[in-house]
Amino acid sequence: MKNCKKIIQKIPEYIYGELPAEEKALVFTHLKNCSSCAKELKTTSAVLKKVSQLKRPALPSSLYPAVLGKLEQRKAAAGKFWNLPFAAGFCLLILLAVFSNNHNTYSIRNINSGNTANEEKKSTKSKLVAEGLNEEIDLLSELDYKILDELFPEQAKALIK
Amino acid sequence: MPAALDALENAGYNQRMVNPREEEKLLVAGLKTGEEQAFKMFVEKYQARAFSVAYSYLKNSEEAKDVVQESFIRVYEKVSSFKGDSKFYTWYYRLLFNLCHDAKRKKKIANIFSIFLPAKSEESSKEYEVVLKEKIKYGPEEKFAAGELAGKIESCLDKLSAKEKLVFELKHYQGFKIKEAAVILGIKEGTVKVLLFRAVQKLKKLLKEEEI
Repeated sequence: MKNCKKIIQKIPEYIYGELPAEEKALVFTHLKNCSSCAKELKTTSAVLKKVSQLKRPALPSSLYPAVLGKLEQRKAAAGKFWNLPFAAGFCLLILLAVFSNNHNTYSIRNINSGNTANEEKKSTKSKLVAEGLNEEIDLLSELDYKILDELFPEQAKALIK
Repeated sequence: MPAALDALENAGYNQRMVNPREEEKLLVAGLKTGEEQAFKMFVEKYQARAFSVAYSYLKNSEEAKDVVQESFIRVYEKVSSFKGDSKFYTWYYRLLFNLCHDAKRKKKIANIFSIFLPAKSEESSKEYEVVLKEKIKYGPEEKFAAGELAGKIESCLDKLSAKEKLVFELKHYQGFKIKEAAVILGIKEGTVKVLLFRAVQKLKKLLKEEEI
Protein backbone atom coordinates (compact mmCIF):
# COMPACT_ATOMS: atom_id res chain seq x y z
CA MET A 1 0.00 0.00 0.00
CA LYS A 2 2.86 2.34 0.90
CA ASN A 3 4.47 1.45 -2.38
CA CYS A 4 1.21 2.17 -4.22
CA LYS A 5 1.16 5.73 -2.83
CA LYS A 6 4.68 6.35 -4.11
CA ILE A 7 3.85 4.83 -7.50
CA ILE A 8 0.71 6.97 -7.87
CA GLN A 9 2.80 10.08 -7.23
CA LYS A 10 5.12 9.02 -10.04
CA ILE A 11 2.32 8.46 -12.56
CA PRO A 12 2.32 11.96 -14.15
CA GLU A 13 6.11 11.78 -14.61
CA TYR A 14 5.70 8.28 -16.00
CA ILE A 15 3.15 9.46 -18.55
CA TYR A 16 5.29 12.43 -19.58
CA GLY A 17 8.33 10.18 -19.94
CA GLU A 18 10.27 12.10 -17.30
CA LEU A 19 11.35 9.16 -15.14
CA PRO A 20 14.91 7.86 -15.29
CA ALA A 21 15.21 4.36 -16.80
CA GLU A 22 15.50 2.53 -13.45
CA GLU A 23 12.49 4.22 -11.88
CA LYS A 24 10.52 3.76 -15.05
CA ALA A 25 11.18 0.03 -14.96
CA LEU A 26 10.12 -0.14 -11.30
CA VAL A 27 6.85 1.68 -11.98
CA PHE A 28 6.20 -0.46 -15.03
CA THR A 29 6.65 -3.70 -13.03
CA HIS A 30 4.41 -2.40 -10.26
CA LEU A 31 1.68 -1.37 -12.68
CA LYS A 32 1.73 -4.81 -14.21
CA ASN A 33 1.05 -6.43 -10.86
CA CYS A 34 -1.26 -3.84 -9.23
CA SER A 35 -4.73 -3.38 -10.70
CA SER A 36 -5.63 -0.29 -8.63
CA CYS A 37 -2.46 1.55 -9.70
CA ALA A 38 -3.04 0.45 -13.29
CA LYS A 39 -6.55 1.93 -13.03
CA GLU A 40 -5.05 5.15 -11.69
CA LEU A 41 -2.72 5.29 -14.67
CA LYS A 42 -5.65 4.80 -17.02
CA THR A 43 -7.77 7.57 -15.47
CA THR A 44 -4.83 10.00 -15.31
CA SER A 45 -4.01 9.37 -18.98
CA ALA A 46 -7.67 9.93 -19.90
CA VAL A 47 -7.77 13.22 -17.98
CA LEU A 48 -4.60 14.48 -19.66
CA LYS A 49 -5.97 13.49 -23.05
CA LYS A 50 -9.20 15.41 -22.41
CA VAL A 51 -7.32 18.47 -21.20
CA SER A 52 -5.21 18.37 -24.38
CA GLN A 53 -8.36 19.14 -26.39
CA LEU A 54 -8.17 22.70 -25.15
CA LYS A 55 -6.63 24.72 -27.98
CA ARG A 56 -4.14 27.34 -27.02
CA PRO A 57 -4.52 30.75 -28.70
CA ALA A 58 -2.36 31.33 -31.74
CA LEU A 59 -0.87 34.53 -33.07
CA PRO A 60 -2.67 35.73 -36.21
CA SER A 61 0.48 37.33 -37.64
CA SER A 62 4.19 37.76 -37.04
CA LEU A 63 5.27 40.08 -34.25
CA TYR A 64 8.55 40.92 -35.96
CA PRO A 65 7.48 44.18 -37.73
CA ALA A 66 5.96 45.55 -34.50
CA VAL A 67 9.00 44.52 -32.44
CA LEU A 68 11.34 46.10 -34.96
CA GLY A 69 9.29 49.33 -34.91
CA LYS A 70 9.41 49.51 -31.11
CA LEU A 71 13.12 48.77 -31.10
CA GLU A 72 13.80 51.57 -33.60
CA GLN A 73 11.75 53.97 -31.46
CA ARG A 74 13.75 53.03 -28.35
CA LYS A 75 17.03 53.42 -30.19
CA ALA A 76 15.99 56.85 -31.46
CA ALA A 77 14.87 57.92 -27.99
CA ALA A 78 18.05 56.61 -26.38
CA GLY A 79 20.18 58.63 -28.82
CA LYS A 80 18.65 61.94 -27.76
CA PHE A 81 19.87 63.54 -24.55
CA TRP A 82 16.35 64.75 -23.85
CA ASN A 83 14.83 61.30 -23.69
CA LEU A 84 11.96 61.09 -21.22
CA PRO A 85 13.59 59.87 -17.98
CA PHE A 86 16.52 62.24 -18.44
CA ALA A 87 14.25 65.16 -19.29
CA ALA A 88 11.97 64.44 -16.33
CA GLY A 89 14.93 64.31 -13.93
CA PHE A 90 16.41 67.49 -15.37
CA CYS A 91 13.11 69.38 -15.07
CA LEU A 92 12.70 68.19 -11.50
CA LEU A 93 16.17 69.47 -10.60
CA ILE A 94 15.44 72.88 -12.15
CA LEU A 95 12.12 73.13 -10.33
CA LEU A 96 13.73 72.19 -7.04
CA ALA A 97 16.47 74.78 -7.56
CA VAL A 98 13.97 77.52 -8.45
CA PHE A 99 11.63 76.75 -5.56
CA SER A 100 14.38 76.49 -2.98
CA ASN A 101 15.81 79.82 -4.20
CA ASN A 102 12.36 81.48 -4.07
CA HIS A 103 11.76 80.12 -0.63
CA ASN A 104 15.08 81.54 0.61
CA THR A 105 14.39 84.96 -0.94
CA TYR A 106 10.90 84.93 0.51
CA SER A 107 12.19 84.03 3.95
CA ILE A 108 14.85 86.78 3.80
CA ARG A 109 12.24 89.28 2.61
CA ASN A 110 9.90 88.24 5.40
CA ILE A 111 12.63 88.66 7.98
CA ASN A 112 13.62 92.04 6.56
CA SER A 113 10.05 93.33 6.31
CA GLY A 114 9.28 91.96 9.76
CA ASN A 115 12.27 93.84 11.19
CA THR A 116 11.29 97.11 9.46
CA ALA A 117 7.70 96.83 10.70
CA ASN A 118 8.89 96.13 14.22
CA GLU A 119 11.21 99.11 14.11
CA GLU A 120 8.41 101.39 12.81
CA LYS A 121 5.99 100.04 15.38
CA LYS A 122 8.53 100.56 18.11
CA SER A 123 9.21 104.09 16.91
CA THR A 124 5.50 104.96 16.82
CA LYS A 125 5.06 103.44 20.25
CA SER A 126 8.04 105.24 21.71
CA LYS A 127 6.86 108.53 20.20
CA LEU A 128 3.41 108.04 21.70
CA VAL A 129 4.99 107.21 25.03
CA ALA A 130 7.10 110.32 24.76
CA GLU A 131 3.97 112.38 24.13
CA GLY A 132 2.46 111.03 27.30
CA LEU A 133 -0.31 109.12 25.70
CA ASN A 134 0.13 106.09 27.87
CA GLU A 135 -3.54 105.59 28.45
CA GLU A 136 -4.26 105.44 24.75
CA ILE A 137 -1.27 103.16 24.27
CA ASP A 138 -2.59 100.72 26.80
CA LEU A 139 -5.77 100.42 24.85
CA LEU A 140 -3.97 99.79 21.58
CA SER A 141 -2.92 96.27 20.78
CA GLU A 142 0.08 95.25 18.61
CA LEU A 143 -2.19 94.78 15.61
CA ASP A 144 -3.76 98.18 16.13
CA TYR A 145 -0.38 99.83 15.83
CA LYS A 146 0.27 98.08 12.59
CA ILE A 147 -3.15 99.00 11.17
CA LEU A 148 -2.79 102.55 12.34
CA ASP A 149 0.61 102.87 10.66
CA GLU A 150 -0.44 101.23 7.45
CA LEU A 151 -3.94 102.63 6.91
CA PHE A 152 -3.70 106.08 8.41
CA PRO A 153 -0.06 107.05 8.28
CA GLU A 154 -0.84 110.77 8.28
CA GLN A 155 -3.22 110.56 11.25
CA ALA A 156 -0.70 108.46 13.08
CA LYS A 157 1.93 111.10 12.45
CA ALA A 158 -0.52 113.77 13.57
CA LEU A 159 -1.27 111.85 16.72
CA ILE A 160 2.41 111.59 17.45
CA LYS A 161 2.91 115.30 16.86
CA MET B 1 25.43 33.74 -37.25
CA PRO B 2 23.38 34.13 -40.43
CA ALA B 3 26.68 34.05 -42.28
CA ALA B 4 27.42 30.74 -40.58
CA LEU B 5 23.94 29.45 -41.40
CA ASP B 6 24.26 30.67 -44.97
CA ALA B 7 27.49 28.72 -45.27
CA LEU B 8 25.69 25.60 -44.07
CA GLU B 9 22.80 26.20 -46.44
CA ASN B 10 25.19 26.73 -49.34
CA ALA B 11 26.78 23.43 -48.47
CA GLY B 12 23.40 21.75 -48.99
CA TYR B 13 22.11 21.88 -45.43
CA ASN B 14 18.98 23.58 -44.27
CA GLN B 15 18.11 24.79 -40.78
CA ARG B 16 16.36 21.54 -39.85
CA MET B 17 19.51 19.60 -40.58
CA VAL B 18 21.57 21.71 -38.17
CA ASN B 19 21.92 20.18 -34.71
CA PRO B 20 19.47 22.08 -32.43
CA ARG B 21 22.21 22.81 -29.90
CA GLU B 22 24.47 24.08 -32.63
CA GLU B 23 21.60 26.16 -34.02
CA GLU B 24 20.98 27.71 -30.61
CA LYS B 25 24.66 28.58 -30.26
CA LEU B 26 24.68 30.19 -33.69
CA LEU B 27 21.49 32.08 -32.91
CA VAL B 28 22.88 33.44 -29.64
CA ALA B 29 26.14 34.40 -31.34
CA GLY B 30 24.17 36.28 -34.01
CA LEU B 31 22.04 38.03 -31.40
CA LYS B 32 25.13 39.06 -29.45
CA THR B 33 26.66 40.67 -32.52
CA GLY B 34 23.34 42.46 -33.15
CA GLU B 35 22.63 40.93 -36.55
CA GLU B 36 19.18 41.77 -37.79
CA GLN B 37 18.66 38.45 -39.55
CA ALA B 38 19.44 36.55 -36.34
CA PHE B 39 16.98 38.71 -34.43
CA LYS B 40 14.29 38.08 -37.04
CA MET B 41 14.90 34.32 -36.84
CA PHE B 42 14.75 34.42 -33.06
CA VAL B 43 11.45 36.35 -33.01
CA GLU B 44 9.82 34.09 -35.59
CA LYS B 45 11.02 30.95 -33.88
CA TYR B 46 9.90 31.89 -30.38
CA GLN B 47 6.83 34.10 -30.86
CA ALA B 48 4.09 31.45 -31.03
CA ARG B 49 5.16 29.52 -27.95
CA ALA B 50 6.02 32.69 -26.05
CA PHE B 51 2.59 34.13 -26.83
CA SER B 52 0.92 30.94 -25.66
CA VAL B 53 2.84 30.99 -22.36
CA ALA B 54 2.12 34.68 -21.80
CA TYR B 55 -1.55 34.25 -22.69
CA SER B 56 -1.97 31.37 -20.26
CA TYR B 57 -0.52 33.56 -17.52
CA LEU B 58 -2.23 36.86 -18.32
CA LYS B 59 -5.47 35.59 -19.90
CA ASN B 60 -5.57 38.61 -22.20
CA SER B 61 -4.29 38.46 -25.76
CA GLU B 62 -3.37 42.15 -26.10
CA GLU B 63 -1.42 42.15 -22.85
CA ALA B 64 0.23 38.86 -23.81
CA LYS B 65 1.24 40.34 -27.18
CA ASP B 66 2.71 43.43 -25.51
CA VAL B 67 4.66 41.37 -23.00
CA VAL B 68 6.05 39.08 -25.72
CA GLN B 69 7.12 42.09 -27.80
CA GLU B 70 8.80 43.59 -24.75
CA SER B 71 10.55 40.28 -24.03
CA PHE B 72 12.06 40.27 -27.53
CA ILE B 73 13.30 43.83 -27.10
CA ARG B 74 14.83 42.89 -23.73
CA VAL B 75 16.60 39.96 -25.35
CA TYR B 76 18.02 42.27 -28.01
CA GLU B 77 19.27 44.64 -25.33
CA LYS B 78 20.45 42.11 -22.75
CA VAL B 79 21.60 39.08 -24.69
CA SER B 80 25.20 40.03 -23.93
CA SER B 81 24.50 39.17 -20.28
CA PHE B 82 23.62 35.59 -21.28
CA LYS B 83 26.68 33.61 -20.18
CA GLY B 84 25.57 30.24 -21.50
CA ASP B 85 25.29 28.62 -18.03
CA SER B 86 21.80 27.43 -18.95
CA LYS B 87 20.08 26.78 -22.23
CA PHE B 88 19.21 29.93 -24.11
CA TYR B 89 15.49 29.14 -24.31
CA THR B 90 15.18 28.55 -20.55
CA TRP B 91 16.96 31.89 -20.03
CA TYR B 92 14.51 33.52 -22.43
CA TYR B 93 11.41 31.95 -20.87
CA ARG B 94 12.63 32.96 -17.41
CA LEU B 95 12.85 36.55 -18.70
CA LEU B 96 9.39 36.25 -20.25
CA PHE B 97 7.96 34.80 -17.06
CA ASN B 98 9.38 37.73 -15.04
CA LEU B 99 7.83 40.20 -17.48
CA CYS B 100 4.46 38.42 -17.23
CA HIS B 101 4.73 38.56 -13.46
CA ASP B 102 5.49 42.31 -13.58
CA ALA B 103 2.61 42.92 -16.00
CA LYS B 104 0.21 41.12 -13.70
CA ARG B 105 1.42 43.07 -10.69
CA LYS B 106 1.07 46.36 -12.57
CA LYS B 107 -2.44 45.34 -13.63
CA LYS B 108 -3.38 44.66 -10.02
CA ILE B 109 -2.12 48.09 -8.98
CA ALA B 110 -3.91 49.70 -11.95
CA ASN B 111 -7.11 47.91 -10.94
CA ILE B 112 -6.86 49.36 -7.45
CA PHE B 113 -6.62 52.87 -8.91
CA SER B 114 -9.11 52.22 -11.74
CA ILE B 115 -11.96 53.57 -9.60
CA PHE B 116 -10.51 57.03 -10.21
CA LEU B 117 -10.39 56.58 -13.99
CA PRO B 118 -13.20 56.59 -16.57
CA ALA B 119 -14.37 53.13 -17.72
CA LYS B 120 -12.21 51.72 -20.53
CA SER B 121 -13.61 49.82 -23.48
CA GLU B 122 -12.45 46.24 -23.85
CA GLU B 123 -13.96 45.82 -27.29
CA SER B 124 -10.66 45.73 -29.17
CA SER B 125 -9.45 42.91 -26.94
CA LYS B 126 -12.68 40.99 -27.39
CA GLU B 127 -12.47 41.39 -31.17
CA TYR B 128 -9.00 39.90 -31.05
CA GLU B 129 -10.25 36.94 -29.01
CA VAL B 130 -12.90 36.35 -31.67
CA VAL B 131 -10.22 36.35 -34.38
CA LEU B 132 -8.25 33.84 -32.36
CA LYS B 133 -11.23 31.57 -31.86
CA GLU B 134 -12.25 31.75 -35.50
CA LYS B 135 -8.86 30.45 -36.49
CA ILE B 136 -10.00 27.03 -35.28
CA LYS B 137 -12.46 25.96 -37.94
CA TYR B 138 -15.42 23.85 -36.90
CA GLY B 139 -18.95 23.31 -38.20
CA PRO B 140 -21.72 25.09 -36.22
CA GLU B 141 -22.57 22.10 -33.99
CA GLU B 142 -18.99 21.02 -33.51
CA LYS B 143 -18.08 24.63 -32.84
CA PHE B 144 -20.67 24.81 -30.07
CA ALA B 145 -19.65 21.49 -28.54
CA ALA B 146 -15.95 22.26 -28.80
CA GLY B 147 -16.53 25.71 -27.33
CA GLU B 148 -18.54 24.29 -24.46
CA LEU B 149 -15.95 21.62 -23.69
CA ALA B 150 -13.11 24.11 -23.96
CA GLY B 151 -14.96 26.45 -21.61
CA LYS B 152 -15.43 23.69 -19.06
CA ILE B 153 -11.79 22.62 -19.25
CA GLU B 154 -10.71 26.26 -19.00
CA SER B 155 -12.85 26.76 -15.90
CA CYS B 156 -11.33 23.60 -14.35
CA LEU B 157 -7.83 24.92 -15.07
CA ASP B 158 -8.77 28.25 -13.51
CA LYS B 159 -9.57 26.47 -10.28
CA LEU B 160 -5.97 25.34 -9.89
CA SER B 161 -3.66 27.51 -7.79
CA ALA B 162 -1.52 30.00 -9.73
CA LYS B 163 1.63 27.89 -9.31
CA GLU B 164 -0.10 24.63 -10.20
CA LYS B 165 -1.55 26.24 -13.30
CA LEU B 166 1.81 27.59 -14.39
CA VAL B 167 3.59 24.28 -13.90
CA PHE B 168 0.84 22.44 -15.74
CA GLU B 169 0.90 24.96 -18.58
CA LEU B 170 4.66 24.69 -19.01
CA LYS B 171 4.70 20.92 -18.76
CA HIS B 172 1.52 19.85 -20.47
CA TYR B 173 0.82 22.52 -23.07
CA GLN B 174 4.29 23.86 -23.77
CA GLY B 175 6.13 20.55 -23.42
CA PHE B 176 8.95 21.80 -21.20
CA LYS B 177 10.83 19.25 -19.15
CA ILE B 178 10.42 19.35 -15.37
CA LYS B 179 14.02 20.53 -15.06
CA GLU B 180 13.42 23.39 -17.51
CA ALA B 181 10.15 24.41 -15.83
CA ALA B 182 12.06 24.60 -12.53
CA VAL B 183 14.66 26.94 -14.07
CA ILE B 184 12.00 29.12 -15.72
CA LEU B 185 9.94 29.46 -12.55
CA GLY B 186 12.97 29.71 -10.26
CA ILE B 187 11.87 26.82 -8.05
CA LYS B 188 13.26 23.36 -7.20
CA GLU B 189 12.63 20.35 -9.40
CA GLY B 190 11.00 18.54 -6.49
CA THR B 191 8.55 21.42 -6.07
CA VAL B 192 7.65 21.25 -9.77
CA LYS B 193 6.97 17.51 -9.44
CA VAL B 194 4.74 18.06 -6.40
CA LEU B 195 2.85 20.90 -8.11
CA LEU B 196 2.40 18.85 -11.27
CA PHE B 197 1.04 15.89 -9.29
CA ARG B 198 -1.34 18.14 -7.36
CA ALA B 199 -2.52 19.82 -10.57
CA VAL B 200 -3.25 16.47 -12.22
CA GLN B 201 -5.08 15.17 -9.14
CA LYS B 202 -7.19 18.32 -8.89
CA LEU B 203 -8.01 18.24 -12.60
CA LYS B 204 -9.07 14.63 -12.30
CA LYS B 205 -11.48 15.55 -9.51
CA LEU B 206 -12.76 18.72 -11.21
CA LEU B 207 -13.37 17.05 -14.58
CA LYS B 208 -15.28 14.30 -12.81
CA GLU B 209 -17.45 16.89 -11.08
CA GLU B 210 -18.09 18.63 -14.41
CA GLU B 211 -18.91 15.22 -15.93
CA ILE B 212 -16.42 15.65 -18.74
